[in-house]
Amino acid sequence: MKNKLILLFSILTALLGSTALNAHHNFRAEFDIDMPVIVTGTVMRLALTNPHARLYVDVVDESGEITHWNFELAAASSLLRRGWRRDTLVVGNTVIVHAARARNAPNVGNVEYVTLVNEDGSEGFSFGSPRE
Amino acid sequence: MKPSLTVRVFFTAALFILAMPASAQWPYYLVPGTPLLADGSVDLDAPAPRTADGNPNFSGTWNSIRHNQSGEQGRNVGEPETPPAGVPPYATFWDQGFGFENGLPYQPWALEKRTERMANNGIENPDSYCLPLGHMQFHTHNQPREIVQSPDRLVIIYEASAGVRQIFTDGRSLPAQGDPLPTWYGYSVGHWDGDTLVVETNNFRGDGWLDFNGSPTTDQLITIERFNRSTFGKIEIDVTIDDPGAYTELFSLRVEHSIMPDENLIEWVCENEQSTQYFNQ
Repeated sequence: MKNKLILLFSILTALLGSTALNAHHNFRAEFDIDMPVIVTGTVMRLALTNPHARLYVDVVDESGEITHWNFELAAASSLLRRGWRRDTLVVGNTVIVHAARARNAPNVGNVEYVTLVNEDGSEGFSFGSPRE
Repeated sequence: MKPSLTVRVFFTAALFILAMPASAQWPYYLVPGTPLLADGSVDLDAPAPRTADGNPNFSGTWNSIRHNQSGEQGRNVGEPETPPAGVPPYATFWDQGFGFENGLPYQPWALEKRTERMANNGIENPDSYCLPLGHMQFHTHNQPREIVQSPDRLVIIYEASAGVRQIFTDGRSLPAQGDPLPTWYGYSVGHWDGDTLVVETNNFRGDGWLDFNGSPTTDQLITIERFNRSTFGKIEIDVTIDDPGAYTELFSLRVEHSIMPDENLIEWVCENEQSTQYFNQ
């Protein structure tokens, strides 16, 4: 039992580590942790790529104008180990994305966590965690 | 009272797992021959397996054990962990000097270069442009690595960068520094010292980074690694960095890996061009 717990803890720690640390390139070269953004929008595409997956979300404002957001996620292989699959988020899903804005691009961000909004308006599963 | 870091990490991670759709896991497959305890769990403390020639077998998929990390871009999670007596400071992905009282023994230009890289957010980090990670970055990266061992070589496949490293154990000599074409991974030759595999590597290109913060290396770099598989579940590697071009003295770091008994590497094709257009150049 002890070893099982140690193994479970090791796996969980590894998963958490790969969540919290965007190690694959220079986060600060691209994003500003002091420029957080929260958007609610519609999933247009999920690209499971490395070293970072991409989530494309369209956000419609009160005037009906659409903004195309391009969000960076963790590595596809990390997401897969964490339970993502190709249909975890599909085109048309409504999501709430908490992210850090890119320094030099207006509608680009790095995801802290993303929450699926169910059809009845309730919040579904959530991936990621707030930055410390 | 604020819960301990360990408790917070455990419960946060547990929430992640509980939040996953149950059917969504990457397929797991427990390698046949994995030692098990009576309750069916993996016996991580079982003796290291051996190959037919009697040497310890390092084959397997391995996760880097992350001792406390620090770094400009990492989240500081406290003071460096103190290793047991006789063990060098733990290697960390972000800052290899984290466990040293005065940091790494940089040559003046190397310290200046590292400072410059930290100030410009590591804009020229080779990994950002899908080029290979540095030697110590591969050892400490979040993405796992698989060791494939045969009687005459070890091949280490790194998921990150889809890197491949060969370590020849067929009795050949290490080539002279500067003789073969220098490479990102260098030229590695290993020999057995009892149950320890001693690996010497030279002929690096000299542009790999030791850590995310940009501690440099030069083409004078030579590494000596001592691989030990202390149990079924763990590998310890003591790495000595000898690079008079960038450091005033050699130093050693401890790398530790834990077995991932039911996992494999996942394909990694680097498509970072989708990010680099947004860098603050």
